[in-house]
Amino acid sequence: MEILSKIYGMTAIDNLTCYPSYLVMIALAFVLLYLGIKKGFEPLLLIPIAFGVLIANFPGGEMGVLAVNGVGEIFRISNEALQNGLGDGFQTVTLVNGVEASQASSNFIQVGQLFYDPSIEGNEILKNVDLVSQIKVYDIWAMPLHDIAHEFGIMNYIYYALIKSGLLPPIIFMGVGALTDFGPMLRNLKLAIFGAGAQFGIFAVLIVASQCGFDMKEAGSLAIIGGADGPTAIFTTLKLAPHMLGPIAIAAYSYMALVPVIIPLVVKLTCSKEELSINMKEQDKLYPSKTEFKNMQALKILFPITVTTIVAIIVPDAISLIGMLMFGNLIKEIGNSTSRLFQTASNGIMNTATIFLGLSVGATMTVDAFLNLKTIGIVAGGFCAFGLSIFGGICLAKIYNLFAKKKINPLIGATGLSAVPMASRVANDIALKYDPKNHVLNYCMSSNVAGVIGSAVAAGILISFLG
Amino acid sequence: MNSLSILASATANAQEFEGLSGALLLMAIGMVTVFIVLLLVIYVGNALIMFVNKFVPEETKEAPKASFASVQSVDAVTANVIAQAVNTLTGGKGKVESIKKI
Repeated sequence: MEILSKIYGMTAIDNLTCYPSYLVMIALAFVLLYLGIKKGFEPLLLIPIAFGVLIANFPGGEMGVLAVNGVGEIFRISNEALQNGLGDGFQTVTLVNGVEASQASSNFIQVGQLFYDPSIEGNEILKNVDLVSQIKVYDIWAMPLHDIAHEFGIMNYIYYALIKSGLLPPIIFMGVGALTDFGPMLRNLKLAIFGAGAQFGIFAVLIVASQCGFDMKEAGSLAIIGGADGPTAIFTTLKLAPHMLGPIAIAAYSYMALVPVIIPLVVKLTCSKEELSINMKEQDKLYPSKTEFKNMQALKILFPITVTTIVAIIVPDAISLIGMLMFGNLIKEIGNSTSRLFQTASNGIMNTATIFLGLSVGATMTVDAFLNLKTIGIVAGGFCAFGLSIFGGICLAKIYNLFAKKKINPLIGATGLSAVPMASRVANDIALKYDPKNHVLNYCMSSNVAGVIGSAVAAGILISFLG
Repeated sequence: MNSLSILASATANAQEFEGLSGALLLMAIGMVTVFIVLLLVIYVGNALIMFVNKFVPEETKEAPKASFASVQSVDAVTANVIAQAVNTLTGGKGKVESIKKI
Protein backbone atom coordinates (compact mmCIF):
# COMPACT_ATOMS: atom_id res chain seq x y z
CA MET A 1 0.00 0.00 0.00
CA GLU A 2 2.85 2.33 0.85
CA ILE A 3 4.40 1.58 -2.50
CA LEU A 4 1.14 2.38 -4.25
CA SER A 5 0.96 5.64 -2.32
CA LYS A 6 4.51 6.49 -3.37
CA ILE A 7 3.72 5.67 -6.97
CA TYR A 8 0.66 7.91 -6.75
CA GLY A 9 2.80 10.63 -5.18
CA MET A 10 5.25 10.32 -8.06
CA THR A 11 2.58 11.17 -10.60
CA ALA A 12 1.21 14.63 -11.34
CA ILE A 13 -2.38 13.50 -10.73
CA ASP A 14 -2.62 14.84 -7.18
CA ASN A 15 -1.36 18.32 -8.07
CA LEU A 16 -3.49 18.44 -11.19
CA THR A 17 -6.65 17.66 -9.23
CA CYS A 18 -5.76 20.08 -6.42
CA TYR A 19 -4.94 22.92 -8.80
CA PRO A 20 -7.30 22.92 -11.78
CA SER A 21 -5.55 26.01 -13.17
CA TYR A 22 -2.94 23.61 -14.57
CA LEU A 23 -5.73 21.89 -16.46
CA VAL A 24 -6.77 25.24 -17.95
CA MET A 25 -3.26 25.70 -19.34
CA ILE A 26 -3.12 22.12 -20.63
CA ALA A 27 -6.48 22.64 -22.35
CA LEU A 28 -5.11 25.84 -23.88
CA ALA A 29 -2.12 23.86 -25.19
CA PHE A 30 -4.49 21.34 -26.78
CA VAL A 31 -6.43 24.15 -28.48
CA LEU A 32 -3.21 25.68 -29.84
CA LEU A 33 -2.06 22.26 -31.06
CA TYR A 34 -5.41 21.76 -32.77
CA LEU A 35 -5.11 25.14 -34.49
CA GLY A 36 -1.58 24.36 -35.63
CA ILE A 37 -2.08 20.75 -36.74
CA LYS A 38 -5.66 20.61 -37.98
CA LYS A 39 -6.32 24.20 -39.03
CA GLY A 40 -2.79 24.78 -40.30
CA PHE A 41 -2.33 28.16 -38.57
CA GLU A 42 1.39 28.71 -39.07
CA PRO A 43 2.30 25.19 -37.87
CA LEU A 44 6.06 25.80 -37.92
CA LEU A 45 5.57 28.38 -35.19
CA LEU A 46 2.41 27.41 -33.37
CA ILE A 47 3.18 23.72 -32.86
CA PRO A 48 6.50 24.25 -30.99
CA ILE A 49 4.84 27.00 -28.90
CA ALA A 50 1.81 24.83 -28.11
CA PHE A 51 3.98 21.86 -27.19
CA GLY A 52 6.10 24.12 -24.99
CA VAL A 53 2.91 25.20 -23.18
CA LEU A 54 1.91 21.56 -22.74
CA ILE A 55 5.16 20.29 -21.25
CA ALA A 56 5.57 23.37 -19.04
CA ASN A 57 2.31 22.81 -17.22
CA PHE A 58 2.74 19.41 -15.63
CA PRO A 59 3.62 19.79 -11.94
CA GLY A 60 6.92 18.13 -11.14
CA GLY A 61 8.15 18.22 -14.72
CA GLU A 62 10.37 21.30 -14.19
CA MET A 63 9.92 22.29 -17.81
CA GLY A 64 8.25 25.63 -17.17
CA VAL A 65 10.26 28.83 -17.44
CA LEU A 66 10.14 30.43 -14.01
CA ALA A 67 8.73 33.91 -13.63
CA VAL A 68 11.20 36.42 -12.19
CA ASN A 69 10.58 39.81 -10.65
CA GLY A 70 11.74 43.13 -12.08
CA VAL A 71 15.32 42.67 -10.89
CA GLY A 72 15.61 39.07 -12.03
CA GLU A 73 15.10 37.30 -8.70
CA ILE A 74 13.53 33.90 -8.20
CA PHE A 75 12.47 32.84 -4.69
CA ARG A 76 12.17 29.37 -3.33
CA ILE A 77 10.78 28.59 0.09
CA SER A 78 12.07 25.94 2.45
CA ASN A 79 9.77 23.11 3.45
CA GLU A 80 10.04 24.31 7.05
CA ALA A 81 8.80 27.75 6.08
CA LEU A 82 5.97 26.24 4.10
CA GLN A 83 4.91 24.09 7.04
CA ASN A 84 5.23 26.82 9.66
CA GLY A 85 3.85 29.62 7.53
CA LEU A 86 5.67 32.74 6.42
CA GLY A 87 4.12 35.13 8.89
CA ASP A 88 2.00 38.21 8.42
CA GLY A 89 1.94 39.77 5.03
CA PHE A 90 3.25 36.83 3.06
CA GLN A 91 1.49 34.22 1.07
CA THR A 92 2.92 31.79 -1.40
CA VAL A 93 1.57 30.50 -4.66
CA THR A 94 1.87 27.14 -6.31
CA LEU A 95 5.31 26.74 -7.77
CA VAL A 96 5.81 25.49 -11.27
CA ASN A 97 7.62 22.42 -10.02
CA GLY A 98 4.63 21.40 -7.97
CA VAL A 99 5.43 22.65 -4.46
CA GLU A 100 2.12 22.97 -2.68
CA ALA A 101 1.29 26.29 -1.12
CA SER A 102 -1.68 28.51 -0.54
CA GLN A 103 -3.09 30.74 -3.25
CA ALA A 104 -2.35 34.43 -3.05
CA SER A 105 -5.03 37.00 -2.55
CA SER A 106 -5.48 39.71 -5.15
CA ASN A 107 -4.18 42.60 -3.03
CA PHE A 108 -0.76 41.01 -2.67
CA ILE A 109 2.12 41.90 -4.95
CA GLN A 110 4.12 39.16 -6.62
CA VAL A 111 7.83 38.93 -5.98
CA GLY A 112 9.21 35.97 -7.82
CA GLN A 113 7.21 33.04 -6.55
CA LEU A 114 6.13 34.84 -3.38
CA PHE A 115 3.36 37.29 -2.79
CA TYR A 116 3.78 39.97 -0.17
CA ASP A 117 1.62 42.67 1.28
CA PRO A 118 3.45 45.99 0.82
CA SER A 119 1.31 47.72 3.45
CA ILE A 120 3.10 45.83 6.24
CA GLU A 121 6.24 47.58 7.44
CA GLY A 122 9.44 45.77 6.60
CA ASN A 123 8.04 43.98 3.59
CA GLU A 124 9.26 46.55 1.07
CA ILE A 125 12.61 44.85 0.87
CA LEU A 126 12.10 41.15 1.03
CA LYS A 127 15.70 40.33 1.82
CA ASN A 128 15.58 42.32 5.07
CA VAL A 129 12.96 40.19 6.75
CA ASP A 130 13.79 37.38 9.12
CA LEU A 131 12.59 34.78 6.69
CA VAL A 132 15.74 35.08 4.65
CA SER A 133 17.10 31.82 6.05
CA GLN A 134 14.02 29.99 4.91
CA ILE A 135 13.73 31.66 1.56
CA LYS A 136 16.38 31.00 -1.02
CA VAL A 137 16.84 33.92 -3.36
CA TYR A 138 18.33 33.29 -6.80
CA ASP A 139 19.64 36.21 -8.82
CA ILE A 140 19.03 34.83 -12.27
CA TRP A 141 21.33 37.35 -13.97
CA ALA A 142 24.27 36.43 -11.76
CA MET A 143 23.84 32.66 -12.08
CA PRO A 144 26.09 30.66 -14.40
CA LEU A 145 24.11 28.84 -17.06
CA HIS A 146 25.00 25.39 -15.73
CA ASP A 147 23.55 26.42 -12.35
CA ILE A 148 20.35 27.52 -14.05
CA ALA A 149 20.15 24.13 -15.77
CA HIS A 150 20.84 22.33 -12.48
CA GLU A 151 18.45 24.33 -10.30
CA PHE A 152 15.59 25.09 -12.65
CA GLY A 153 15.75 22.50 -15.41
CA ILE A 154 16.82 22.39 -19.01
CA MET A 155 14.04 24.61 -20.38
CA ASN A 156 15.17 27.52 -18.20
CA TYR A 157 18.71 26.92 -19.46
CA ILE A 158 17.54 27.17 -23.08
CA TYR A 159 15.43 30.22 -22.29
CA TYR A 160 18.13 32.18 -20.49
CA ALA A 161 20.97 31.12 -22.79
CA LEU A 162 19.23 31.78 -26.09
CA ILE A 163 16.37 34.19 -25.52
CA LYS A 164 17.07 36.30 -22.45
CA SER A 165 20.63 36.74 -23.65
CA GLY A 166 19.15 38.37 -26.76
CA LEU A 167 20.86 35.88 -29.07
CA LEU A 168 17.93 34.36 -30.93
CA PRO A 169 16.05 37.46 -32.19
CA PRO A 170 18.90 38.74 -34.42
CA ILE A 171 19.70 35.16 -35.48
CA ILE A 172 16.10 34.65 -36.57
CA PHE A 173 16.19 37.98 -38.38
CA MET A 174 19.20 36.70 -40.32
CA GLY A 175 17.19 33.63 -41.34
CA VAL A 176 14.19 35.78 -42.25
CA GLY A 177 16.48 37.95 -44.37
CA ALA A 178 17.84 34.88 -46.13
CA LEU A 179 14.29 33.80 -46.93
CA THR A 180 13.14 37.25 -48.07
CA ASP A 181 13.11 38.41 -51.65
CA PHE A 182 13.29 42.19 -51.96
CA GLY A 183 12.49 41.89 -55.68
CA PRO A 184 8.73 42.56 -55.31
CA MET A 185 9.49 45.54 -53.08
CA LEU A 186 12.00 46.99 -55.56
CA ARG A 187 9.50 46.55 -58.38
CA ASN A 188 6.81 48.37 -56.37
CA LEU A 189 8.92 50.70 -54.26
CA LYS A 190 6.15 53.25 -53.68
CA LEU A 191 4.07 50.65 -51.87
CA ALA A 192 6.78 50.40 -49.20
CA ILE A 193 5.35 53.50 -47.54
CA PHE A 194 2.39 51.44 -46.31
CA GLY A 195 4.86 49.68 -44.04
CA ALA A 196 4.95 52.94 -42.09
CA GLY A 197 1.18 53.34 -41.76
CA ALA A 198 0.92 49.92 -40.19
CA GLN A 199 3.14 50.94 -37.27
CA PHE A 200 0.28 53.11 -35.99
CA GLY A 201 -0.93 50.35 -33.66
CA ILE A 202 2.40 50.33 -31.81
CA PHE A 203 2.22 53.97 -30.81
CA ALA A 204 -1.56 54.05 -30.28
CA VAL A 205 -1.34 51.19 -27.78
CA LEU A 206 1.68 52.86 -26.17
CA ILE A 207 -0.57 55.80 -25.33
CA VAL A 208 -3.41 53.62 -24.03
CA ALA A 209 -1.14 51.30 -22.03
CA SER A 210 0.66 54.22 -20.41
CA GLN A 211 -2.75 55.36 -19.08
CA CYS A 212 -3.72 51.88 -17.86
CA GLY A 213 -1.21 51.28 -15.10
CA PHE A 214 1.81 50.24 -17.16
CA ASP A 215 4.91 52.41 -16.81
CA MET A 216 6.35 53.77 -20.05
CA LYS A 217 8.92 51.00 -20.48
CA GLU A 218 6.27 48.33 -19.94
CA ALA A 219 3.87 50.19 -22.24
CA GLY A 220 6.58 50.32 -24.94
CA SER A 221 7.19 46.58 -24.64
CA LEU A 222 3.48 45.85 -24.82
CA ALA A 223 2.97 48.18 -27.76
CA ILE A 224 5.70 46.60 -29.89
CA ILE A 225 3.48 43.52 -30.24
CA GLY A 226 1.69 45.67 -32.83
CA GLY A 227 4.79 45.37 -35.02
CA ALA A 228 3.71 41.76 -35.64
CA ASP A 229 7.27 40.65 -35.43
CA GLY A 230 8.17 38.12 -32.74
CA PRO A 231 11.95 38.68 -32.72
CA THR A 232 11.47 42.46 -32.63
CA ALA A 233 9.02 42.16 -29.73
CA ILE A 234 11.44 39.95 -27.77
CA PHE A 235 14.41 42.20 -28.51
CA THR A 236 12.56 45.36 -27.45
CA THR A 237 11.14 43.79 -24.28
CA LEU A 238 14.59 42.56 -23.27
CA LYS A 239 15.81 46.14 -23.46
CA LEU A 240 12.81 47.82 -21.83
CA ALA A 241 10.97 45.45 -19.49
CA PRO A 242 12.63 42.02 -19.30
CA HIS A 243 10.28 40.86 -16.54
CA MET A 244 7.42 40.99 -19.05
CA LEU A 245 9.19 38.91 -21.67
CA GLY A 246 7.16 35.72 -21.17
CA PRO A 247 3.66 37.07 -21.73
CA ILE A 248 4.80 39.48 -24.45
CA ALA A 249 6.60 36.77 -26.40
CA ILE A 250 3.57 34.54 -26.08
CA ALA A 251 1.18 37.28 -27.20
CA ALA A 252 3.42 38.33 -30.12
CA TYR A 253 3.92 34.82 -31.44
CA SER A 254 0.34 33.72 -30.84
CA TYR A 255 -1.00 36.68 -32.79
CA MET A 256 1.55 36.12 -35.55
CA ALA A 257 0.30 32.56 -35.80
CA LEU A 258 -3.27 33.85 -35.80
CA VAL A 259 -2.68 36.33 -38.66
CA PRO A 260 -5.00 34.19 -40.88
CA VAL A 261 -7.78 35.01 -38.42
CA ILE A 262 -6.98 38.59 -37.40
CA ILE A 263 -6.35 40.18 -40.83
CA PRO A 264 -9.64 38.91 -42.36
CA LEU A 265 -11.48 40.12 -39.25
CA VAL A 266 -10.09 43.67 -39.42
CA VAL A 267 -10.44 43.80 -43.21
CA LYS A 268 -14.07 42.69 -42.98
CA LEU A 269 -14.80 45.42 -40.45
CA THR A 270 -13.08 48.23 -42.32
CA CYS A 271 -13.14 47.58 -46.08
CA SER A 272 -15.93 47.55 -48.64
CA LYS A 273 -16.35 44.96 -51.40
CA GLU A 274 -15.48 47.58 -54.04
CA GLU A 275 -12.22 48.44 -52.30
CA LEU A 276 -11.21 44.79 -51.95
CA SER A 277 -12.00 44.21 -55.63
CA ILE A 278 -9.45 46.77 -56.85
CA ASN A 279 -7.40 44.75 -59.32
CA MET A 280 -3.76 45.75 -59.09
CA LYS A 281 -2.73 44.31 -62.47
CA GLU A 282 -5.49 46.26 -64.21
CA GLN A 283 -4.31 49.38 -62.40
CA ASP A 284 -0.80 48.64 -63.66
CA LYS A 285 -2.11 48.38 -67.21
CA LEU A 286 -3.99 51.67 -66.86
CA TYR A 287 -1.04 53.46 -65.27
CA PRO A 288 2.11 51.56 -66.28
CA SER A 289 5.32 52.10 -64.37
CA LYS A 290 8.10 53.95 -66.19
CA THR A 291 10.85 52.29 -64.21
CA GLU A 292 12.90 49.68 -66.04
CA PHE A 293 15.24 47.19 -64.43
CA LYS A 294 18.38 46.39 -66.39
CA ASN A 295 20.21 44.44 -63.72
CA MET A 296 17.99 43.21 -60.92
CA GLN A 297 20.71 41.02 -59.40
CA ALA A 298 23.09 43.94 -58.88
CA LEU A 299 20.21 45.95 -57.46
CA LYS A 300 19.33 43.21 -55.00
CA ILE A 301 22.95 43.07 -53.82
CA LEU A 302 23.28 46.83 -53.39
CA PHE A 303 19.89 47.24 -51.68
CA PRO A 304 20.59 45.47 -48.34
CA ILE A 305 23.93 47.22 -48.03
CA THR A 306 22.30 50.60 -48.64
CA VAL A 307 19.34 50.06 -46.30
CA THR A 308 21.67 48.88 -43.53
CA THR A 309 23.71 52.04 -43.93
CA ILE A 310 20.63 54.32 -43.87
CA VAL A 311 19.10 52.66 -40.80
CA ALA A 312 22.45 52.56 -39.01
CA ILE A 313 22.81 56.30 -39.46
CA ILE A 314 19.25 57.25 -38.47
CA VAL A 315 18.30 54.68 -35.82
CA PRO A 316 21.42 52.82 -34.62
CA ASP A 317 19.40 50.98 -31.97
CA ALA A 318 17.61 49.09 -34.74
CA ILE A 319 20.79 47.91 -36.40
CA SER A 320 21.14 44.60 -34.57
CA LEU A 321 17.85 43.53 -36.14
CA ILE A 322 17.99 45.30 -39.51
CA GLY A 323 21.70 44.56 -39.90
CA MET A 324 21.19 40.83 -39.43
CA LEU A 325 18.10 40.87 -41.67
CA MET A 326 20.06 42.53 -44.45
CA PHE A 327 23.11 40.32 -43.91
CA GLY A 328 20.92 37.25 -44.36
CA ASN A 329 19.48 38.76 -47.52
CA LEU A 330 22.89 39.77 -48.86
CA ILE A 331 24.34 36.25 -48.63
CA LYS A 332 21.26 35.02 -50.47
CA GLU A 333 21.55 37.55 -53.28
CA ILE A 334 25.29 37.27 -53.84
CA GLY A 335 24.70 33.80 -55.19
CA ASN A 336 27.18 31.01 -55.72
CA SER A 337 30.09 32.35 -53.71
CA THR A 338 28.03 32.56 -50.49
CA SER A 339 25.50 29.85 -51.23
CA ARG A 340 26.79 27.68 -48.37
CA LEU A 341 26.25 30.51 -45.89
CA PHE A 342 22.80 31.12 -47.34
CA GLN A 343 21.85 27.45 -47.05
CA THR A 344 22.99 27.34 -43.42
CA ALA A 345 21.27 30.61 -42.45
CA SER A 346 17.98 29.79 -44.15
CA ASN A 347 17.76 26.12 -43.19
CA GLY A 348 19.95 24.83 -40.37
CA ILE A 349 20.21 27.93 -38.22
CA MET A 350 16.69 29.21 -38.90
CA ASN A 351 15.04 25.87 -38.16
CA THR A 352 17.11 25.27 -35.02
CA ALA A 353 16.36 28.78 -33.77
CA THR A 354 12.64 28.36 -34.48
CA ILE A 355 12.47 25.08 -32.53
CA PHE A 356 14.24 26.46 -29.47
CA LEU A 357 12.39 29.75 -29.58
CA GLY A 358 8.99 28.15 -30.02
CA LEU A 359 9.44 25.59 -27.25
CA SER A 360 10.94 27.97 -24.72
CA VAL A 361 8.47 30.78 -25.45
CA GLY A 362 5.67 28.25 -24.99
CA ALA A 363 7.26 27.13 -21.74
CA THR A 364 6.98 30.67 -20.35
CA MET A 365 3.21 30.23 -20.45
CA THR A 366 2.87 28.69 -17.01
CA VAL A 367 0.02 28.99 -14.53
CA ASP A 368 1.97 31.53 -12.46
CA ALA A 369 2.95 33.70 -15.38
CA PHE A 370 -0.19 33.51 -17.46
CA LEU A 371 -3.24 33.36 -15.24
CA ASN A 372 -3.01 36.83 -13.74
CA LEU A 373 -4.52 40.20 -14.56
CA LYS A 374 -1.36 41.83 -15.88
CA THR A 375 -0.74 39.05 -18.39
CA ILE A 376 -4.36 39.13 -19.49
CA GLY A 377 -3.92 42.92 -19.93
CA ILE A 378 -0.84 42.29 -22.06
CA VAL A 379 -2.65 39.74 -24.21
CA ALA A 380 -5.63 42.08 -24.68
CA GLY A 381 -3.38 45.10 -25.31
CA GLY A 382 -1.32 43.09 -27.79
CA PHE A 383 -4.43 42.16 -29.71
CA CYS A 384 -5.45 45.84 -29.88
CA ALA A 385 -1.96 46.80 -31.05
CA PHE A 386 -2.10 44.12 -33.73
CA GLY A 387 -5.55 45.09 -34.92
CA LEU A 388 -4.77 48.82 -34.87
CA SER A 389 -1.62 48.27 -36.93
CA ILE A 390 -3.64 46.52 -39.63
CA PHE A 391 -6.23 49.30 -39.38
CA GLY A 392 -3.50 51.97 -39.67
CA GLY A 393 -2.18 50.42 -42.89
CA ILE A 394 -5.68 50.15 -44.35
CA CYS A 395 -6.44 53.79 -43.46
CA LEU A 396 -3.25 54.97 -45.15
CA ALA A 397 -4.23 53.06 -48.31
CA LYS A 398 -7.70 54.62 -48.21
CA ILE A 399 -6.27 58.12 -47.77
CA TYR A 400 -3.87 57.47 -50.65
CA ASN A 401 -6.80 56.38 -52.85
CA LEU A 402 -8.57 59.68 -52.18
CA PHE A 403 -5.79 61.59 -53.95
CA ALA A 404 -4.20 59.15 -56.40
CA LYS A 405 -5.39 58.15 -59.85
CA LYS A 406 -3.83 54.72 -59.58
CA LYS A 407 -5.88 53.05 -56.86
CA ILE A 408 -4.39 50.71 -54.29
CA ASN A 409 -6.16 47.68 -52.88
CA PRO A 410 -6.41 48.35 -49.09
CA LEU A 411 -5.13 44.82 -48.47
CA ILE A 412 -1.72 46.18 -49.42
CA GLY A 413 -2.03 48.61 -46.52
CA ALA A 414 -3.09 45.79 -44.20
CA THR A 415 0.08 43.87 -44.98
CA GLY A 416 2.24 46.80 -43.88
CA LEU A 417 2.24 44.79 -40.71
CA SER A 418 5.29 42.50 -40.58
CA ALA A 419 4.60 38.73 -40.30
CA VAL A 420 6.35 37.98 -43.61
CA PRO A 421 5.16 36.28 -45.78
CA MET A 422 2.09 35.02 -43.97
CA ALA A 423 0.29 38.37 -44.00
CA SER A 424 0.78 38.63 -47.77
CA ARG A 425 -0.49 35.11 -48.34
CA VAL A 426 -3.59 35.80 -46.28
CA ALA A 427 -4.20 39.10 -48.10
CA ASN A 428 -3.81 37.36 -51.46
CA ASP A 429 -6.39 34.76 -50.44
CA ILE A 430 -8.84 37.49 -49.43
CA ALA A 431 -8.32 39.33 -52.74
CA LEU A 432 -8.90 36.13 -54.72
CA LYS A 433 -12.23 35.63 -52.95
CA TYR A 434 -13.48 38.93 -54.35
CA ASP A 435 -11.85 38.62 -57.77
CA PRO A 436 -10.36 35.25 -58.81
CA LYS A 437 -7.95 37.05 -61.17
CA ASN A 438 -6.68 39.55 -58.61
CA HIS A 439 -3.31 38.19 -57.47
CA VAL A 440 -1.97 40.81 -55.06
CA LEU A 441 0.81 38.73 -53.47
CA ASN A 442 3.71 40.57 -55.11
CA TYR A 443 2.25 43.97 -54.27
CA CYS A 444 1.54 42.95 -50.68
CA MET A 445 5.09 41.65 -50.29
CA SER A 446 6.36 45.16 -50.92
CA SER A 447 4.52 46.69 -47.97
CA ASN A 448 5.00 43.51 -45.95
CA VAL A 449 8.80 43.60 -46.23
CA ALA A 450 8.76 47.35 -45.62
CA GLY A 451 6.75 46.56 -42.48
CA VAL A 452 9.66 44.49 -41.16
CA ILE A 453 11.96 47.48 -41.62
CA GLY A 454 9.31 49.82 -40.17
CA SER A 455 8.70 47.75 -37.03
CA ALA A 456 12.44 47.40 -36.42
CA VAL A 457 12.81 51.17 -36.74
CA ALA A 458 9.86 51.69 -34.36
CA ALA A 459 11.54 49.31 -31.92
CA GLY A 460 14.76 51.29 -32.24
CA ILE A 461 12.84 54.50 -31.44
CA LEU A 462 11.25 52.97 -28.34
CA ILE A 463 14.62 51.65 -27.14
CA SER A 464 16.32 55.01 -27.84
CA PHE A 465 13.77 57.08 -25.96
CA LEU A 466 12.64 54.76 -23.21
CA GLY A 467 15.59 52.41 -22.69
CA MET B 1 26.40 59.67 -29.91
CA ASN B 2 24.21 60.43 -32.91
CA SER B 3 21.80 63.33 -33.22
CA LEU B 4 18.73 61.22 -32.48
CA SER B 5 20.27 59.85 -29.30
CA ILE B 6 21.19 63.37 -28.22
CA LEU B 7 17.63 64.49 -28.91
CA ALA B 8 16.35 61.42 -27.08
CA SER B 9 18.43 62.01 -23.98
CA ALA B 10 17.72 65.75 -24.02
CA THR B 11 13.99 65.28 -24.37
CA ALA B 12 14.02 62.40 -21.91
CA ASN B 13 15.70 64.63 -19.37
CA ALA B 14 13.19 67.37 -19.98
CA GLN B 15 10.01 65.35 -19.98
CA GLU B 16 11.06 61.78 -19.24
CA PHE B 17 8.23 60.68 -21.53
CA GLU B 18 5.85 60.19 -18.67
CA GLY B 19 2.11 60.51 -18.90
CA LEU B 20 -0.15 61.19 -21.81
CA SER B 21 1.87 64.07 -23.25
CA GLY B 22 5.05 61.98 -23.21
CA ALA B 23 3.32 59.10 -24.98
CA LEU B 24 1.81 61.45 -27.59
CA LEU B 25 5.21 63.05 -28.19
CA LEU B 26 6.75 59.62 -28.60
CA MET B 27 4.03 58.66 -31.05
CA ALA B 28 4.70 61.76 -33.13
CA ILE B 29 8.47 61.19 -33.11
CA GLY B 30 8.09 57.47 -33.83
CA MET B 31 5.65 57.73 -36.71
CA VAL B 32 7.57 60.60 -38.33
CA THR B 33 10.86 58.67 -38.05
CA VAL B 34 9.36 55.50 -39.52
CA PHE B 35 7.91 57.52 -42.43
CA ILE B 36 11.24 59.29 -42.98
CA VAL B 37 13.21 56.03 -42.98
CA LEU B 38 10.83 54.33 -45.42
CA LEU B 39 10.69 57.42 -47.65
CA LEU B 40 14.49 57.38 -47.67
CA VAL B 41 14.40 53.68 -48.57
CA ILE B 42 12.07 54.51 -51.48
CA TYR B 43 14.11 57.46 -52.76
CA VAL B 44 17.45 55.77 -52.29
CA GLY B 45 15.99 52.64 -53.88
CA ASN B 46 14.98 54.68 -56.92
CA ALA B 47 18.43 56.26 -57.01
CA LEU B 48 19.96 52.78 -56.86
CA ILE B 49 17.81 51.65 -59.77
CA MET B 50 19.02 54.59 -61.85
CA PHE B 51 22.62 54.00 -60.77
CA VAL B 52 22.49 50.31 -61.65
CA ASN B 53 20.75 50.96 -64.98
CA LYS B 54 23.42 53.50 -65.91
CA PHE B 55 26.64 52.03 -64.52
CA VAL B 56 26.06 48.32 -64.02
CA PRO B 57 24.18 47.17 -67.09
CA GLU B 58 23.35 43.50 -66.98
CA GLU B 59 25.90 41.16 -68.39
CA THR B 60 24.15 39.02 -70.91
CA LYS B 61 24.48 35.49 -69.72
CA GLU B 62 23.62 32.70 -72.00
CA ALA B 63 20.94 30.58 -70.51
CA PRO B 64 22.22 27.06 -69.94
CA LYS B 65 20.88 24.87 -72.59
CA ALA B 66 20.02 21.25 -72.18
CA SER B 67 23.24 19.59 -73.23
CA PHE B 68 22.18 16.03 -72.97
CA ALA B 69 21.21 13.59 -75.57
CA SER B 70 18.35 11.65 -74.10
CA VAL B 71 15.67 14.28 -74.06
CA GLN B 72 13.20 12.34 -76.08
CA SER B 73 10.96 11.81 -73.07
CA VAL B 74 10.23 15.55 -72.71
CA ASP B 75 9.92 18.49 -75.08
CA ALA B 76 12.73 20.99 -75.54
CA VAL B 77 11.08 23.73 -73.46
CA THR B 78 10.58 21.45 -70.47
CA ALA B 79 14.13 20.17 -70.80
CA ASN B 80 15.48 23.73 -70.76
CA VAL B 81 13.36 24.65 -67.75
CA ILE B 82 14.67 21.61 -65.84
CA ALA B 83 18.24 22.46 -66.87
CA GLN B 84 17.84 26.04 -65.64
CA ALA B 85 16.32 24.87 -62.36
CA VAL B 86 19.20 22.45 -61.75
CA ASN B 87 21.66 25.19 -62.68
CA THR B 88 20.12 27.60 -60.15
CA LEU B 89 19.84 25.05 -57.36
CA THR B 90 23.36 23.71 -57.73
CA GLY B 91 24.97 27.08 -58.40
CA GLY B 92 26.08 26.05 -61.88
CA LYS B 93 27.79 22.89 -60.74
CA GLY B 94 25.03 20.46 -61.52
CA LYS B 95 24.51 18.94 -64.94
CA VAL B 96 21.45 17.16 -66.26
CA GLU B 97 22.44 14.02 -68.10
CA SER B 98 19.09 12.44 -68.68
CA ILE B 99 15.41 12.97 -67.96
CA LYS B 100 13.11 10.04 -67.39
CA LYS B 101 9.40 10.02 -66.76
CA ILE B 102 8.57 7.87 -63.75
